[in-house]
Amino acid sequence: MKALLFKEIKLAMHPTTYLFMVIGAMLMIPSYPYYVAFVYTCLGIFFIFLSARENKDIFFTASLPVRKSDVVKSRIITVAIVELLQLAIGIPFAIIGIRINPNAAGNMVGIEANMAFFGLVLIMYALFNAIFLPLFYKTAVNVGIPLVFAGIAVTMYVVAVELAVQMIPFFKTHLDTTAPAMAKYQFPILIAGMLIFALALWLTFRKSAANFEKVDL
Amino acid sequence: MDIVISNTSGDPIYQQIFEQISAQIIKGQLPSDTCLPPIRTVAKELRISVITVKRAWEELEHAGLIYTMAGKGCFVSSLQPNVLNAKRNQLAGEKLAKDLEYYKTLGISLEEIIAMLKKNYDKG
Amino acid sequence: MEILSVQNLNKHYPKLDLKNVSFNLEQGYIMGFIGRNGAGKTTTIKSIMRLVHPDSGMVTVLGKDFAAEEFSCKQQIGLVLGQVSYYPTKKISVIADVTRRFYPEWDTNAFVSYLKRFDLDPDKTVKELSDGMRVKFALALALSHNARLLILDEPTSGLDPVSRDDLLELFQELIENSERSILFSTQITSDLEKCADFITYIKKGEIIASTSKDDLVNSYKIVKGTRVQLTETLLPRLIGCKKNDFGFTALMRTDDLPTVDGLEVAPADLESIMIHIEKE
Repeated sequence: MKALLFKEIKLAMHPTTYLFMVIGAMLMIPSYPYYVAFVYTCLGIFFIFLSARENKDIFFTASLPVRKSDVVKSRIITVAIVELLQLAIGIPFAIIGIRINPNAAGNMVGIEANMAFFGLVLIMYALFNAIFLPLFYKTAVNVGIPLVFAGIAVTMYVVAVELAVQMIPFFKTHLDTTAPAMAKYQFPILIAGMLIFALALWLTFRKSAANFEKVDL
Repeated sequence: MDIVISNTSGDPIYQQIFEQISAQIIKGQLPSDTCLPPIRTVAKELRISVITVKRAWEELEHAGLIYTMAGKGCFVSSLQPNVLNAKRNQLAGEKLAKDLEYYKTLGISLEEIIAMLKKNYDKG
Repeated sequence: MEILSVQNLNKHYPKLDLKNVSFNLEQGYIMGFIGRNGAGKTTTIKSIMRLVHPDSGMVTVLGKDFAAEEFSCKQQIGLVLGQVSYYPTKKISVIADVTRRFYPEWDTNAFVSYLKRFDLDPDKTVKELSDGMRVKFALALALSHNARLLILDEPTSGLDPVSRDDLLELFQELIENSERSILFSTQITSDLEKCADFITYIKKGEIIASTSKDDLVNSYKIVKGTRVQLTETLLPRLIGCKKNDFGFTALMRTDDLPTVDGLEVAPADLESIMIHIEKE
């Protein structure tokens, strides 16, 4: 497994994925739809699959002494690492952003980059993974169609969550703020996000591995 | 030891190898107890199948021209001159019998064959 | 000792069925795997490696059940599928650095010496290599983890005659110490005339012969004759009979030969055997 992960990082990782990871810096921008920064990560993940396909990764991997399910596992772990790293990179920028922009009006175009936001982003990742990965491993070739479906789902999710936060007064006052007093309402969302992300990742792996097992390479 | 394989000859390759090595043994070019090269090396050098060489070696052993020492390889048998002569005659006889059959199908008489033989023998 | 044993592989596809594919390969020999395009060569190889899942059947490598001990079986195998074209922009040294981590038996010194022998520059990328060099690179990887069984799918296709000959010579050298075996599929039967010890011939998903090359070649003869000679009694014994304006050419089992008279008989080679059998 370690060898497979090394392979993922050394060979399969697309340079733009690293670039998208630093996009967490966008959380510094005052008044910005912060979800966008993390949607880029999904794009970065798509590039991993695309470049792996273009580079005939399957032919290389097929010649190695590995099980098909391990191939899926290593790729999914890579995906999770990319997602979490980007989130982690985003945190300091979010804090800096809040510090240098003590703007009373807050983020005009979306939710503040607070704990609740990070929890909701984790759920967004969970959704993306759960749709993109099993669909991809149905063929292990098509990357476009899974991206379209996952993209639609992620967009709908982001719009729904933003609308809910902006429209529902309780959410607006408790979630869309960086006031320390509201942290106790936001923290559970972060925890829920982590749990959902982890659980979804496990189920995604199970489903993807089962799909891939049936594919004749 | 020399082996030249012909792809145009109708004879199977193992047969060609057998004939050439046995000729060299009988003529004394390969003295007794000479170690033959390993089968796999011969196959690689001649660019033929290992099995083909094996077959040729088996035929040589069967004819009593070589013997195998387990783990060491194959060696040319030490044959007394009279045995060697007998082998020579036997091999020549077999080949002759085959050729004669062919001449017979062409309807050539024994006298004609002898005459042809003489003529060609003197030439060579 | 048998290095590879394939027993009754079955796999259903819409276009092709593998039907009871069985053959054995002994240690220290080269087996050529022949058949037309789409006859099931690649599918068989992929089924052996479990890249496609056969519906039934069993594969053993050095006596071990492949399905049960996939990891240790794959350690013994060097697999090269088609032309090596993966990660064209990566350097040889990088790919080797990734590959070596998968094999406990990896021998870096051996790898370095194979690179030297094959004239491969570790700083070159895959796409900078010629087709022949790519196969050699894949072989260097396989040999450096001490693979006992090399399974190569069409390694010589696309190579010019000189690099092909070069590669075939290398194959024979690799089996010289009788520890390794090579199974390679090819369309080019002349490759096999030179180096194969055994031939496995697949036609429409069925193995129709798996035997030593010499036996296979000797069991058939090419016969030619005039149109008058092409009688009703002869016809059923001819395989893939090709008629022309002046006579016919066909393949015949050597065993059937004594039953006929007056035909022109010539030794068969793999190519003519394949051409006539495929015509049936």
